[in-house]
Order: sequence, then C-alpha cells, then structure tokens
Amino acid sequence: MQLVPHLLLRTETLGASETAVQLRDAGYLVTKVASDAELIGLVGVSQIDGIVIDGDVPALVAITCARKLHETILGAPPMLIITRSPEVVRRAAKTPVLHPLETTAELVTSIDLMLAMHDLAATM
Amino acid sequence: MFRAMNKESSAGRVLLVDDQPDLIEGFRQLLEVEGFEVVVHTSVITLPFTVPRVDPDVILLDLSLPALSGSALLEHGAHKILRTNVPIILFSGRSSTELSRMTEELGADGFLAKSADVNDAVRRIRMWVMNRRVLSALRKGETNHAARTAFAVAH
Repeated sequence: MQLVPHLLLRTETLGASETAVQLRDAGYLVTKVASDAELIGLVGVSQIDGIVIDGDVPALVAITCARKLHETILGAPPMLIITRSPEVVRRAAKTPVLHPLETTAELVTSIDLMLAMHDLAATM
Repeated sequence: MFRAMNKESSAGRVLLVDDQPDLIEGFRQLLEVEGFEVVVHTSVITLPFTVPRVDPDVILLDLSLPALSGSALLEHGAHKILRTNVPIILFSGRSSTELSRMTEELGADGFLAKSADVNDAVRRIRMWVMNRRVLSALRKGETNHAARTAFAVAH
C-alpha cells in the first residue's frame, strides 16, 4: 500500500458525496468515477489501493461491477460496497458491505481494515 | 511568457493559482525538483484564457485570491467556465476537515492543504496527474496509451 492510499469511489451522483467527504477527511486520496469502464480502466493501469461503491449505486449495478472487476483483473484491489441490501449484495458480490446507516461510524475503520487485510494476505 | 515543454516527458504540468510569492517559489522549487513543470498564475479572472494555453494536467487553486476567489469560481462551475476536465484541486491553509467538505460542495476534485507534508503533497499531485492522463486516454479509447502513460508517470 502507498503512503497516501488511493481509493476509487464509484458513484452515480454528480453532486456532493458524503462518502467522499469522510474518506478525504480520513486522509485518503479519492478519485470519483461514474462508470464501470472508467473504474476498470483505472484499476488496470493506475495505482489503486481500494475501491468503494457508494450507496447511490443500485445494488444490481454494484454486484455486476464487482463481478466484472474480478473477471477482468487478476489480483484486483479490495472492494467495499455501500448498499441498502447488505446481505444480498455480500452473498452475490463476495465483498465486504456496509449499510448506509453504518457509514458514519464504520466507513473509515472498515476501509482501513480491508486494506490492511489485503496487504497482509499479499505478504503471506 | 509560458513556453511549453513536451508534457509527456515531464512528471506533469501543474498550474498553480496563488498570489503568495514565498509559497509560490517554495512550491515551484519542490515540484520542479520532482520533475513537474510548474506554471504560476496569480489571478482567477484571466484563468479561462490561461488554461487552454497552458493545457495543465492539474490545477491547484487557492481559495482566497483577491478580486475573484477560487471558491467563487468553483461555485459558478469552474470546469464549465474553464472548459476543461482537468482535476481542480483546492489549495488552502484551512483544515482538512473543512477542505474535505468544501471539495464536495464546490465540485472540486480534491484538496491539498498548504500545511501538508511535502512528500504527501508530491505523491498526491503525481496521482492526480496520472489519473487525468489515464482517464483522458481511456475516454479517447487509447487503452495502450493509458497504460504507457501510467507507467511513465509512476516511474
């Protein structure tokens, strides 16, 4: 992981994102992307430490994005999905999830933990 | 007078919009040592003419400039006014908590606190440049070019 962890935030909102505010305030460098193509394109060639799919992205789109990413890129960075249907999305996308109501208290900790676990797994 | 280098050969072209001479000079030296090309502009008012001419990879915009502030420009839609999709980064002495919120509310692409650690600042700018070049190439359908660009900026 780089000293300034770089996260991609997949969002459908053109306006302000509370998720981006929280992550930037926690010291993450956040790049917002509005399509799966841009997300996969950046993951393929840029230095990305993790991916967050924001709560405004419909669950089915989020699941498709997670699957596409893992099918396209071997060793893709870890992903966390914020969704109102956490259990269904967790089973379908096989990624960590958070309910939007949990983000205020748990978003940054969840990301920190996810990146640390990913780094640890990479060194084992 | 601004004379463009070959942009691809530099770590990135940074347009620094600020009016504090000491800070400008220090920051310019820091970035140039790291391989960036730095163009300084001290006014927001003439920025719409400067941006197309300079063709930067990233714009660092001070929030509190005289006459017209960086935040006023952003409030009126900086990307549209400047006719660019270049990342516009808030460059300010305010706290990171305040800047995180302002980044989203003003529609900027990130922030760089003037008090940031210099290594941190360089890494962030490198990343913004890389993202800009990669996304720009991807939008043009140049996947191989995007990969080469990312490699060149990273090394």
